[in-house]
Amino acid sequence: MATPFNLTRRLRRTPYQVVASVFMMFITLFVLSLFLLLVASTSSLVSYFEKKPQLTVFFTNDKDKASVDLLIEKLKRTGKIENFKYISKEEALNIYREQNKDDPLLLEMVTADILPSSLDISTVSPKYLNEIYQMLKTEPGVDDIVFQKEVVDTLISWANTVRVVGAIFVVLLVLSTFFILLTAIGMKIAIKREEIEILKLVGATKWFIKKPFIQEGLIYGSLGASLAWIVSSLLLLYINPYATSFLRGVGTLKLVSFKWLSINIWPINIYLILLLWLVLLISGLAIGFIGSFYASSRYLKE
Amino acid sequence: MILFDSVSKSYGGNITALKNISFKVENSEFVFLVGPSGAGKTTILRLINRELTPTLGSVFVDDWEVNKLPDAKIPFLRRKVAFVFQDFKLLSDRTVGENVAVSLEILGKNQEFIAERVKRVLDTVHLEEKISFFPGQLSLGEQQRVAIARAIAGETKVLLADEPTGNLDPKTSWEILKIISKINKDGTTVIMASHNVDIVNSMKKRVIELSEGKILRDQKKSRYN
Repeated sequence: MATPFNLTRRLRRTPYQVVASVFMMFITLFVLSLFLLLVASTSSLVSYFEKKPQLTVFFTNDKDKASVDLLIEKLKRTGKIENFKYISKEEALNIYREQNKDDPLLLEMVTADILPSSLDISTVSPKYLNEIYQMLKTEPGVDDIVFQKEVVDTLISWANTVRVVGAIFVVLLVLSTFFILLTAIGMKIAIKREEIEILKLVGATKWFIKKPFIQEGLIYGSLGASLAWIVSSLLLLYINPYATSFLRGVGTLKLVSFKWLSINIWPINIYLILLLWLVLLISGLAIGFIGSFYASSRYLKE
Repeated sequence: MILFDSVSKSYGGNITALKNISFKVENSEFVFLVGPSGAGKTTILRLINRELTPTLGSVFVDDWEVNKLPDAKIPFLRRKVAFVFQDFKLLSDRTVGENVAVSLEILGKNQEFIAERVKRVLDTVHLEEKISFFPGQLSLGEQQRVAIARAIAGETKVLLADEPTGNLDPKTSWEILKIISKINKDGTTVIMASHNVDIVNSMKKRVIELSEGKILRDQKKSRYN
């Protein structure tokens, strides 16, 4: 026997409201998924670059290892250096050989003497880069300094913009979805006012009357989340070749890392896709539940 | 047990539906409320199931002081005190079986129990063969029988009937009354508002006669002229 509040029957009776609600939920959750992916990837990228050597100091030929060690001690005393790596002329030659192993002519022409020794430096925070740069500039025996401050600054600026614009979009869309849900469920409650009155007279609790409306909200949320997840996953697969080209040389970008679980945002993998589904589903169900609960509480007031 | 203790009810400022009335209805009693339109019959019924609250005085159903029940408890009162209306108040887009099942679903009964109980209750009101019909496909008498079946399907201790035969022809009215009488014999307290002199007189039950919100007469095995 079908229950008086048979859910599929209720949904079939108002197909346009169902489509509008699910579509709105889909748009909201799709934008949310783009926002989350962008924030996660830019944050991971910033973090990746921040951990890379951010300053490379090239020394003149007369700078010997002992004076470099003194410089290292001086840098350590600042407390602003996370790590550094000294690359001697011989090591520089090895790197050069590795990079040009397919070109014997280039290998023949170069010896360790003509390559500079260098020091790769990472600071504790990007904000110390300029200070360290100014300090090293005045050091004797420093030939050139290359640093990635601009790259990191641009990335941080991008990440902040993405966060702010994305958050505004998501908030606006979540609000729109709430209003759509309020209207859709409010209309249904208005249509069913007589039925609701009868149910109250035969002893139905408020929760019994609200339950089908909340179930509807949860259905909209899960359908919207599933659609958003499918489209987002397809989009990720579509952009994968372009991203591979863009992020050439960047190894693994970690998103979540626990003892027993590690999920990378790059390269794209099945765990990332599953995590996205979980996040979208929880978000969809939460929006659907809160929206429909609020709507039914508001319109069922005696 | 239902007790009215010095109950008055006013609507707005100047319409007084009940004026300081007191009476008691024992368990399993059958009581008719009679009187002209506006005498206060329906107000009494609506005070018992907390559709209304008294302006003065108290209404008790067993140990519950109805007028002081918190909102969250009202559904539980209405499960004990079922109402049969003159206009039936059936869910028009639900079948007969589904209309009766509502009373059991709100109690959280499982589908197997509901199916069994619905069949049994529809058998009591002689409608078992119309379980899949919609209210619009039934006669008025049959619709009222569905409403009665819905009212007694759950945990009903008291049946309130507000002119249940008001829209029915004499033959159908008698059928409805026979069903209500059987429900009363099975132990359910019945309070029935009625205009129908023939029905009241033939039943020889307690009659509370009202006029302008006051009790004119309260007699056992009485007649109504």
